[in-house]
Amino acid sequence: MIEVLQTGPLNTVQDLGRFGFRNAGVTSSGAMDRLALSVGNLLVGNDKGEAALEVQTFPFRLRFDRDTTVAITGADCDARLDGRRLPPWWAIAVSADQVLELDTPRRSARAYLSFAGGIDVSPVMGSRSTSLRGGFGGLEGRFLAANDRLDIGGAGTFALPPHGFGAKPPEAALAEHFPTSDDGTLLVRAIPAGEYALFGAEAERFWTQTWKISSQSDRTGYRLSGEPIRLASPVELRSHGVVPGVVQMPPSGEPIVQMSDANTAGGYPKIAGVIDVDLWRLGQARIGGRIRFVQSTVAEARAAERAVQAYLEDIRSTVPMLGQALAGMVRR
Amino acid sequence: MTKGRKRKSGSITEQIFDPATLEKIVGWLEDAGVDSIEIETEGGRLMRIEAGIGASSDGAGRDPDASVSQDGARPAKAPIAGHFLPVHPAREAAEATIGSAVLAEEIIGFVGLGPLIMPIHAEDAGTLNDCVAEPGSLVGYGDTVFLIEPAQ
Repeated sequence: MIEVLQTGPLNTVQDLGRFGFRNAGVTSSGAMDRLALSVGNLLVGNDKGEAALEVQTFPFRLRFDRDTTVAITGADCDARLDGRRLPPWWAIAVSADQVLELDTPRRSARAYLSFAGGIDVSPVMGSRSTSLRGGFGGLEGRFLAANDRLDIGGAGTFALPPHGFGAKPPEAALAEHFPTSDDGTLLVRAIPAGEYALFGAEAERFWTQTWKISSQSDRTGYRLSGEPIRLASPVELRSHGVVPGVVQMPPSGEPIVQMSDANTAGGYPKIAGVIDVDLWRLGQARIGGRIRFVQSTVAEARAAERAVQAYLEDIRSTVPMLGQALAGMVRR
Repeated sequence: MTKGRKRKSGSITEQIFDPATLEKIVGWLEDAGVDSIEIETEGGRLMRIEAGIGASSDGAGRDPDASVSQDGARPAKAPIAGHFLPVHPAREAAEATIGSAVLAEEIIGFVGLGPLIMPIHAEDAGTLNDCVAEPGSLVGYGDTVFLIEPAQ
């Protein structure tokens, strides 16, 4: 059991998402940074898709009611366990009554807290993710509040070095697979989508200009601000299916990127689709941050996906070996 | 039957001391650019094989914590073999800098091991005196990485 001592709004229970019900209008939800959630789970010995806490407003504090293992991944929140500083992307065994605190990160937007055994809330339609719009899933379909208590599954800790251990963050481990810019602008790879051609020569500026993530951005979608891009001539579209990553162009000419709580349908023309493997980076981008779209290909997206899978598999297979190696040293 | 060439004939130590085996191991070490390897046998005997030197056992030929005697400074050691990371890859600054005060149990550096990162911690409170490993270099289990002047 864990007890939330302090939290801002909009912090929720999330897993990798709820799939297969989009035809009934059910959004997929799930972590905005699924890679961080997966790594956190692997560090505490879980399957990568166990439910965890997504923390996006700070400060956040919780108390453990029993011994367990916790991992903190995603944004570096200068985490402290009973006042002792912990590195980012870190897993550590904790005892009952210890308090974990997270502060506002200086970079990136969201931190993930994974617990050995996972957050034990009832799955709804195959997922423990909170659907804030639907008001179901996670903890009573709502975001966390002080004094909330959450069960964690499983049997508690697994063998860990006393000061914990961590994973190389994907930014470092996968650097060659994710483009970076010299000026700190986040580069997001995308592929032209269904109505791209309707924008004619205007479409070029979609790629060349730097967009700012406006304050009207949340788990549903990011509204970007910049020089508007307009259709050559207005079109009326029937509503069609929409998935996270779809970049819509409303009449204002400023794009909307659909994120984890994406609508299941929409009628705005789609200018592009962010490749799935880049969505975690967008999920860590902050309001006010600057992004630029880079035209990508299916082949490039697949290659990056394979690299991410290999990174996760490497962590999954190395964590137990680390335990064995340490056990051998203790015997010494 | 030739002793030491087959499994279960002679102890592991004897097998490793077999000159042909030793030569092979040293060759592997040199190929891998590794200076030395430590092997713990079932009986708890510790062997160190150094490329170009041969093998020594039970700590002979080791430099037993030369650092400890250096002005009373205490070592902070690598918890596992891997690459020394003075700065966490997700951070811009080191956890502790030379001359700064460190707390007992504080994490002051890291060892990278494949996709994982292990902490190097200070045993006792004091002042971080020195860092004796090169950033990115290979360190062995138990190698001294930092020297800490204990607090009075």
